[in-house]
Amino acid sequence: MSTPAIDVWPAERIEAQAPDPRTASAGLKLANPAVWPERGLDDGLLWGLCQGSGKKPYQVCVDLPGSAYKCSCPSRKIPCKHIIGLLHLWSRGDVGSAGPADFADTWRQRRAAQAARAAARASGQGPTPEQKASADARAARREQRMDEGLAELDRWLGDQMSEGLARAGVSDPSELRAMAARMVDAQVPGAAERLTVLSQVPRDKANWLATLVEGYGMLRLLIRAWQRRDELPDDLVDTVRTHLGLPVHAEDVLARPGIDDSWAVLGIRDLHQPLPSGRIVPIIERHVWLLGRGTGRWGLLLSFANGSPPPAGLVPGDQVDARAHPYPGRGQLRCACSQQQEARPLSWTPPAVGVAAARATWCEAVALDPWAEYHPVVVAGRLAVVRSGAYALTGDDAVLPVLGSDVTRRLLALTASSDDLTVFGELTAGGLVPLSVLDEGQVRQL
Amino acid sequence: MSGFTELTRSAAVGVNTRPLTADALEPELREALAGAPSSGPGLALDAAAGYATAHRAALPSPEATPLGLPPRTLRPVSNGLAALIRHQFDSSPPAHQAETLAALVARGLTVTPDLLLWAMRVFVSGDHSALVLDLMDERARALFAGHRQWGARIRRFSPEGPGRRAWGGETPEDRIAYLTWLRERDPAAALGLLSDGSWQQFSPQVRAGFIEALSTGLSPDDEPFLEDALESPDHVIRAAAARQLFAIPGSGLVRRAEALVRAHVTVHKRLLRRPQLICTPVAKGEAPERDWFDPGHRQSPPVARLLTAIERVPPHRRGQVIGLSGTELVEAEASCKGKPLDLVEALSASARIWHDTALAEALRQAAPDRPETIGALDEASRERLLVDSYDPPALTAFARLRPAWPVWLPAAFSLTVADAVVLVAGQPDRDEDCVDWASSLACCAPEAIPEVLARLEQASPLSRKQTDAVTGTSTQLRLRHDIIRAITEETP
Repeated sequence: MSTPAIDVWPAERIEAQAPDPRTASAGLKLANPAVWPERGLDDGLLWGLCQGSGKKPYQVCVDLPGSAYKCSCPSRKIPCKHIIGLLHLWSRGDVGSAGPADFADTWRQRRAAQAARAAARASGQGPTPEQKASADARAARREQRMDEGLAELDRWLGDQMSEGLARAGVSDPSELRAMAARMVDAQVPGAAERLTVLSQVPRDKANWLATLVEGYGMLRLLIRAWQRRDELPDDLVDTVRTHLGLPVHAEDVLARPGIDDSWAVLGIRDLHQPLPSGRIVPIIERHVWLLGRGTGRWGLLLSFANGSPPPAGLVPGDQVDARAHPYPGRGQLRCACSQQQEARPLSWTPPAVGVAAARATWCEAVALDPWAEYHPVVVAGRLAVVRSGAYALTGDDAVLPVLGSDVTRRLLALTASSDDLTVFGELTAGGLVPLSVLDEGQVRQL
Repeated sequence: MSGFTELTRSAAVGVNTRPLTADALEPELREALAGAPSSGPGLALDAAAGYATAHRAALPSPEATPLGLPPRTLRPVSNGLAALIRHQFDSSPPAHQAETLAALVARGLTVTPDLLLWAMRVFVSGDHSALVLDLMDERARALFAGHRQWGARIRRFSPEGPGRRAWGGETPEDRIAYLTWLRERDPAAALGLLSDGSWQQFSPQVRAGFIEALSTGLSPDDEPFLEDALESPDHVIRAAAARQLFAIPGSGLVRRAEALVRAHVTVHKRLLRRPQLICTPVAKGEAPERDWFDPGHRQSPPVARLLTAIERVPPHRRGQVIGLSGTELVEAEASCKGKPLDLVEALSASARIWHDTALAEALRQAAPDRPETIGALDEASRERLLVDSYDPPALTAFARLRPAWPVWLPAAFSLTVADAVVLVAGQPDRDEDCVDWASSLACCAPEAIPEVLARLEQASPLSRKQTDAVTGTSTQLRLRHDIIRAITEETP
C-alpha cells in the first residue's frame, strides 16, 4: 500500500503525546535506529520492532491520522516510551516506506473493523428488538436504583441539617465518604464525586461551614431535578443526567448531527479526580478546548486516564478540521469528533471579550446549567494584583480573579509580552483558571 | 443579618435546635421557594440550593492594583526548540544545559517561561547562575525582584545596586550581592562590612563565598582579614583565603613559604650534570599551622609541607629564593633524607597556581606520561599532547592521561576519543573504559558532533553496558546538535 503525504510531527507535538516527562525523555533515548531492527511507514500506519532488554522485541504501532497507539510492552502508559521513540525516529526521517509487518497489519484490520461497526451504528443500523428490550430493562433497573439512592441521600442531607453540621461526629469526612460510597453503589457517581469533594474541605478553613451548606444545597437541587424530571425540558434533564454521572456512549453521540468546522485548539487542562476513599488518586480528567472558527462554537474533548494523562493528540496552537457532535444537555459543551483531519498549526486570532463580558459569560453559563463547574472564555484585560498577592484581570471597570499557584502566576506574567494580555481559560465560581496566553499570533500554553 | 448567615447558623447547630423559617430569607429567595417546605430541614436545603446557585453565579470582585511589569524585551524560542531544550533539561548533564543557555544568551534569545523557572531551580548557585540572569529580560527581572534566591542577584545588577539594606537581608545571597557591589566601588568599605561578624552565621561553603567576593580590589590592606580566615577549621574557607592571598604580591603566606624553602632546600650546581637539590622535611611548628591547609600531596606531612612551600614560590622569585629557574628545577635531581624526591606534582601545582606556561611545558617534556603535568599547559599544547597519546590497539598511554582530560573536549581530541570508544566497544574486558570515555565524549566540541556521531555509528558494542554507553552518548549528542542548529536558525 502506498504512503500518502503525512505532515511529519515536530518534536514538541511528539512530546505533547507523552503521558509524563519521564516517558518523553525515555522515548527520546530510544529514538536510535540501532534499537529498531525493523520499522516502516505505510498509509499512515507507523510500525516498528523495538529491541528491549528481553529476547522478544516489542511490537509498536501508531495510527498517525487517528493518533492511536499500540505497543506490546507491559507498560500501562499510553503512549509508552517505545511509541514516543518510534515517533521521534519518524520525525527525524529515519523511518522509510515499508509494508506493515504482520502484527501491524492485524492491528490495522482490527481498528478498521471497529470503525466499521461504529459507522454502522451511526448510520442507523440500530440494535435488534431483543437487544433494545434488554437495554431498556437495564436502564429501568438503573433508574430505580438511582431513585432509591437519591431518596436516601435526600433523607441523609435532611438529617444532617436537622442535627447540625458543626456537632461532633456529624458530617465528618468519613461519614461523607461513606455516603459517597453508597452513591457509587446506587450508580450515581456524580453525586458521589460531589460528596467526596465536600469530604476534602479542610475543617479549619474559614468558610468550611458555608462551603458545606452550599454543597448540600447543590446536591439537593440535583436530587429535586432528578425527582421532577418528568416536568423538566428534555435538554435540562440531559444536563441533570450528566451531572449525576450517567454515561453517554460516544457512538450514540457520534450518531447525532455534527457541526463541521475548522477547530482551533486553545487550551488543555488536566484534573485529578477524587475517589470516595479519600486517597490521592491518579485518575486524570483532561479537558481539550476547541473553538470553531466558522461557527464560533465551543467544544470540549473530555478524556480520562488512570495514572497518567491521556495522550494529547491535539495540542494548543493546533487547528483541525472535524465534525464535532455535541453531547446532549443544556449548557453542555462536551463533544465527540468524527471525520477529523490531520492537525496543522493555527493561523487565526480568536476574538476576545472584555473582563465585564467574561463575568457575564459565567453568569449565563450558570443560568443555563446551575451545576456548571467551568466554562471557556477568551478574555482580554490588564494584569493586576490583589491584596493576597493573587493576580486578577482588570478592564471595563471590572475585575476577574485569576486562580492558580505561584508558579501559574509567574508563568502567566512571563508568557504575556506585556501586562495587557489575552488569556484563554476556564471560568469557575472562584475566577479564571488561565490555560494559555494568546500572544503575537500564537497560543502559548501555560 | 443576611438570610445566608441565618441559614449557616441554623445548619451549624441543627434546625431542630435553631429553627429556620422562610421569614429569615430574602424576599427574592422566599418567592423562588414558593411551594417548598416552609420550615425544617427541607426549607434549609432548598434555601441552601438557592443561595449556592446565586453565589456561584456572582464571581468575586476583589480590589486590584496594576501589576506594573515592563514589557518583554527578549523573544522566547519557538515551541519546537523549547521542546528540544525541555528534553535536554530532563535527560542530559548540567554541562549540556549550560551550553544551551550560553548559546541562547549569546544570540539574544531566551527560553520559554517554564524553562526559565526550571533553569532558576537547577542553576540556583554556581557559575551558571549568571547565565540564568542573562536569560531574564526587564520583565522577568521585575517579576523576580522579590524572589527569595534570585532577588539579590537581580538587584546587584540593577543600575541602583542592591542597596545597603541588603546587608541586613534574610539571605546570604542578598549580603554577598551587596558586598560584591560595594567592593567594586569602595574596597575598604566592603572590607569594613565584614568586621561586624554577621556573615559568620552562615555555613562554611557560604562563608567562602563572602571571601571570594573580595577578589576585586585586593590589596595588602585585606591581608590581616585573610590571615585570620586561614585560622578557620574549615578547609573550604582556608582555601578561599589562600587563593586571595596568592593574588596579593608579597603576601605573608607567600613570604613564609619562601623562608621555608630557603631554609630547607640547598642547591648544588654541577658542571655538565644536572643541578642537585638537597631537601630537608619541614617539621611541625616551623611555620604557623594554618599555612598547611592543603592535604593534596601524597607524602608524609613533613615532606608535604616542603612541597607545598615550593609550589607557593612565585616564578619571578624562584631565582632569588631557590637559585634555579622553573626549567632548571624540572631538570634537577631532588632528594630528601637521602631518598629521591619527586617534584613533578608540586611543580605542576605551582605552574597551575601561577599560570607558569614555561614551567608547564618543561614538565610536559620531562614527564609526558604524568597526567598532572598536563593540567598546567595552555589549551593548544594540552590538546596536542592528548591527541598524540592515542596508541591503539592497547590504548595504555591514552588511558593513563584520562585524569587530564578537560570537561569539554577540544575538536581534534573529540574525534580521537570517538575512535577510542569505537575501539574499546569491541573489546570484551573494557566496559569500564567504554562507559567512562563515552560519557566524557558527550561533552565533545560542538563543531565535532557530526563527525563524532558518524564514527560512533561504526561501534560494535559487545555488552549491554557498552551498548547503553554508546547509545546514550549518541542520543545526547544528537540532541545537542539539533539544539545548536535550531538556535542558529532562530537567531534574529
